[in-house]
Amino acid sequence: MNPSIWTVARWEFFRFFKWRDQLIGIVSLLVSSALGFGVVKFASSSKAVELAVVGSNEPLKLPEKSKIQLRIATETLEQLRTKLDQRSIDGILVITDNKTNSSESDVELIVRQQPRWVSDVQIALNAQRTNRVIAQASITSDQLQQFLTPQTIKITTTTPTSISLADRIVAIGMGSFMVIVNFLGLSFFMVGITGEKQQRITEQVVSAISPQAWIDGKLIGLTAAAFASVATLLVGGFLIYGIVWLAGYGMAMPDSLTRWDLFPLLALLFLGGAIFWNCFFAAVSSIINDPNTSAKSSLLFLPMLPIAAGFLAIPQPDGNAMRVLSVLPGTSSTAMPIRLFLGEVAWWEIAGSLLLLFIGIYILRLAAGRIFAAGIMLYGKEPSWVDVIRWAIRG
Amino acid sequence: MTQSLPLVVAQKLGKSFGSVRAVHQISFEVYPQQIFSLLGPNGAGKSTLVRMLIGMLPPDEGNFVWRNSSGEIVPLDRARIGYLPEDRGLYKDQPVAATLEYFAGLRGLNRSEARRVAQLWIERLGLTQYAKSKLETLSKGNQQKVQIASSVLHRPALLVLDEPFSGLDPINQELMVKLIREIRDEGTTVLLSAHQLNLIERLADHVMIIAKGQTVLSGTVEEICQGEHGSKTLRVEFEHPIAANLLTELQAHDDVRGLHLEQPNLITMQFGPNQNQLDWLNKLQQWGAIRTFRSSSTSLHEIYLRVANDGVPQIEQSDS
Repeated sequence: MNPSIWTVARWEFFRFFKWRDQLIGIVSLLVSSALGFGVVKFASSSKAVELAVVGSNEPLKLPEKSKIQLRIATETLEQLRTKLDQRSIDGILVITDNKTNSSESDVELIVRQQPRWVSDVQIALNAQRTNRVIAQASITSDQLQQFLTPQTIKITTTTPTSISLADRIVAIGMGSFMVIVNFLGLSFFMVGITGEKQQRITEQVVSAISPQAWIDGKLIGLTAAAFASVATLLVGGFLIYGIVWLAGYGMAMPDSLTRWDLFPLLALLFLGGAIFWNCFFAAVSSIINDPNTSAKSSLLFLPMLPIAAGFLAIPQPDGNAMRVLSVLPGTSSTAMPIRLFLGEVAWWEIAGSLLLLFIGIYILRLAAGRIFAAGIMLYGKEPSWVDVIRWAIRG
Repeated sequence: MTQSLPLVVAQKLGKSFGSVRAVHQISFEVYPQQIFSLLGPNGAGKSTLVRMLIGMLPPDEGNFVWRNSSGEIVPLDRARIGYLPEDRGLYKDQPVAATLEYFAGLRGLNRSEARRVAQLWIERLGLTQYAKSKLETLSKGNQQKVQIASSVLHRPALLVLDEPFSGLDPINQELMVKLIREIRDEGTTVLLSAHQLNLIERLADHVMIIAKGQTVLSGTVEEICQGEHGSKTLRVEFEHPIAANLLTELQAHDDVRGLHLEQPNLITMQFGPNQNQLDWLNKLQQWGAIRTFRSSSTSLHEIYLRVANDGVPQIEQSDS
């Protein structure tokens, strides 16, 4: 391979991927996450709730992590009300035996304002009432538990299983990954190429290397910069997940995320998809003089349409629409990963998808190189679509 | 200065853009270590010619023959060319050293060599303190220095400079002249196009003037100034009014191209480039005592205006 391609690739990569900026991004992510986590932790670790119980010596069994501390009141109700007003206690639970039903009680909770912890009291009272009923009915608590537990049904389906929330999140994550990579590629190419035109750099570079070598170097460098930027974000995300997990608040990793066997295939699809669209971005950027005024700028958002279509198809990963999108170059990098995780894909569909993707890249790269070669040397006026098509076909 | 075999020979080049003929039947030879100057008005075809020379545009007609240092005919090698375009710029948000290393890399130098030559040029141009500064923070003169360094740091066989003096103040123009001479003395052949004819007159070993896509004059500055378009001027002030028969005799003389009586005792005469003005002074002294005289030759500037403007003369005399 032409060594100047690697010179361009290295230059373009470090033009847009700055370690300092990435580190600042990770640190900001960690700090904001730590702040958020701290707020939640602070909110959940507020002081214990002291509740005075009047009218019952029977112990109430509170849920395990309840912040409520119960004590049998020795003061009169009036004295307790004074203490409540003085904020010495947080509430008064008044339990009075029901005269008509021995298993029931009339319960009143006196508080300063509507409490968030009332559900814990409710659970404790329910348990107390259940124990009373069991005692009166002469059945064991195990028998009661068996009576109350619904019959479990094991469901076996012959068609693919319905999509769990975790798997949907994974699929959306895959699609979002490509959206971010594409948006970064779009911004890098737009800023890079139109900037070079506006700063009149192109002629000197093209006197040293061929336009095709230049665009090839840009494709490698800027695609790598986009992936590296997203990878940094992922590293930040995993760091946060790790910290949260170590703190004992971790969530279980969705099963679909542990399918390591799919990762090489995913890498190929993501990389191919990014290069495919970056060829398009390079070609369009080279025919734009000023992105703020050019009508052609809107074309750069075209790649977002098939990606959006991929998202919409998540509920039916093996539907006809997704089958088509998963083999077309340009949409396969989003649609195929979703199908791989959520649906069933035949081997020939995967092979066909990869084959079409790489043929698409080859054709688009050549066309983009031709458009780029002519477009970057044009200052002042933008070419017509007829010119652009003619360049793409004949150079 | 020149060797027997030219570095590049252009043979009957032609290039059209649609119905516009930009270059027509132009031929020239550039010899090693020569400073070859391409002159012409805007739209004459200079940039098209330069772009064809460095391989950015294919000629419709004609071709180039390149030779290596051993005199062998070789294909065009972009690594042997340095190019400073007229429409130029650099990455303003990038550091000086990194920019120079990048351009050296594009011209085929490996990373360590690119770093070495970039450092060398930074020191040579007195930019050491700006090595890590972004280009946008440099003065225009210093940016221009970086720009020219980016085109020459790989020691090309041919350096093509399109309007290297534009935007420079007189001090920086002189620095550029000095730099171009140094580059030539180090073994690089220079082809430059510029509108500062006073500088070209001092710098160029060979001048080619083109107009409307065709060569109108080619040669050394001396050859051009002494050629058919050149002339000498003698302005003589006599002690007394000039005799009428002297004027009649001068007008009838074959060697006198022009005669103008400015005052009764003051005449201006124009001769061909081969005439000796001292001989003419001696002749004139025989007709009367001379109080003052001033002699001058046609400058490149005058000849350029004459030939580039389709033969319309706009005389401006330069004293000598």
